[in-house]
Amino acid sequence: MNCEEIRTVIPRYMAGESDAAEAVAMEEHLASCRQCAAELEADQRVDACLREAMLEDEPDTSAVIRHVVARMEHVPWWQRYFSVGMPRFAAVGALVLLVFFVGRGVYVHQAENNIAMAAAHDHYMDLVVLKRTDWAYSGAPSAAFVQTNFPETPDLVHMITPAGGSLEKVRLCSLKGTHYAHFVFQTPQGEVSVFLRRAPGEDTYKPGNVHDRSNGLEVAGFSSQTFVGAVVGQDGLVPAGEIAAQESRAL
Amino acid sequence: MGADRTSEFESMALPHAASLLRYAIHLGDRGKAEAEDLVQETLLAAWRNFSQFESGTNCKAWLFRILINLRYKRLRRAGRRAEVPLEAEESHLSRPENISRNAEMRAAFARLSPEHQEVMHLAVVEGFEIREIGEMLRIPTGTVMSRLSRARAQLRAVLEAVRPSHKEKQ
Repeated sequence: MNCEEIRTVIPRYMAGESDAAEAVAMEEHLASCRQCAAELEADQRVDACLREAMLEDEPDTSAVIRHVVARMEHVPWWQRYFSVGMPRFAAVGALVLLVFFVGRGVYVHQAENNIAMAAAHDHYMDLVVLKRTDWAYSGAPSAAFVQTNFPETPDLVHMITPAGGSLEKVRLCSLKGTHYAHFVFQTPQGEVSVFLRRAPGEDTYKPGNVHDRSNGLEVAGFSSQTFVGAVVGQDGLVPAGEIAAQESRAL
Repeated sequence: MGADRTSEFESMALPHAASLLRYAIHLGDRGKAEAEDLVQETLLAAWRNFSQFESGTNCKAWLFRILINLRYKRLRRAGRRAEVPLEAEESHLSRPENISRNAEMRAAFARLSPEHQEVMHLAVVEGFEIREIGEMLRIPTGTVMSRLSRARAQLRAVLEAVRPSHKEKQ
């Protein structure tokens, strides 16, 4: 290794992440090059001083912890009992109790709201928090996605694009165990998610209309003879209900 | 979520609140209250989605990824990039009377670009691996390493400018 190569990999060496061969090459070079050795030593001193300076004052987290713990105790019931990863029997048991005690009408309403909240959750997690990487982006990848998943409706993207918007990306997702395509459009009002699945002639629950207050989102469900779906966007900015009505007419 | 899950979250995630708050304060744009609000939002988002956390992976790195994404979202919503005024950093990380070498170092660090502060803070202060930093910031590991090199060089240059004796002591 020459000096230039050494300086390229010094950050990895300083982090203790060089493999054995790189570490040996580094040490051999440092033993024979006073300038690189001095650079490394100077960097190590700066790191030590920075660490000491930044860790000198421990920030007071008591208010944050108090607030978080208080909010954890008040997570809405649907999040506690229907969160992703909960044992399936617990969700089924809760649903059976609901049907038994409250009646099917309320159950249907709640099931539709649960799908809507799951759509809001997926929008929030996909676009804000976790930013998953398994998307098909606009252009050829999204065309292939539509061809694979909606072969009967090749013009689907054009049909569901909100006014003034353009498709950014699409992926498959699961809302309460049912697969939907999650389309993301950039519109003048902000990012809009359209969740969609084919449900020709099915007596099925469609997403309801809800406001996800904790994340500032609005969900508007829609259905047609062939599709069910939901529109999710920033509450107060994106006209989710209006877009959902357009989707219903277009599909 | 059950009591076991709650206690698991409390023991795995909440101990990282100080690191999250330190990072949010240092890179925050509106002071300590905004930083506390960001950390609260991060921990509550983590709590709501704790079932998606993969056991055996680095919980602290997962929390930082959430915090960084939420912070970018706030910056986008506010229509501005991160700005780190010198005075803001000083006001909440050191006592006024404590005009020390540490304060001088923090002031010098605050003069680096936000991108360089990000990688330096995550690597040097929080001890994340280069790969983890790349995943958090969504940049290649080669970019993380080159930013680290440039950040260290700039920090040394700033220190030498404000403290000429610094070079001699190295």
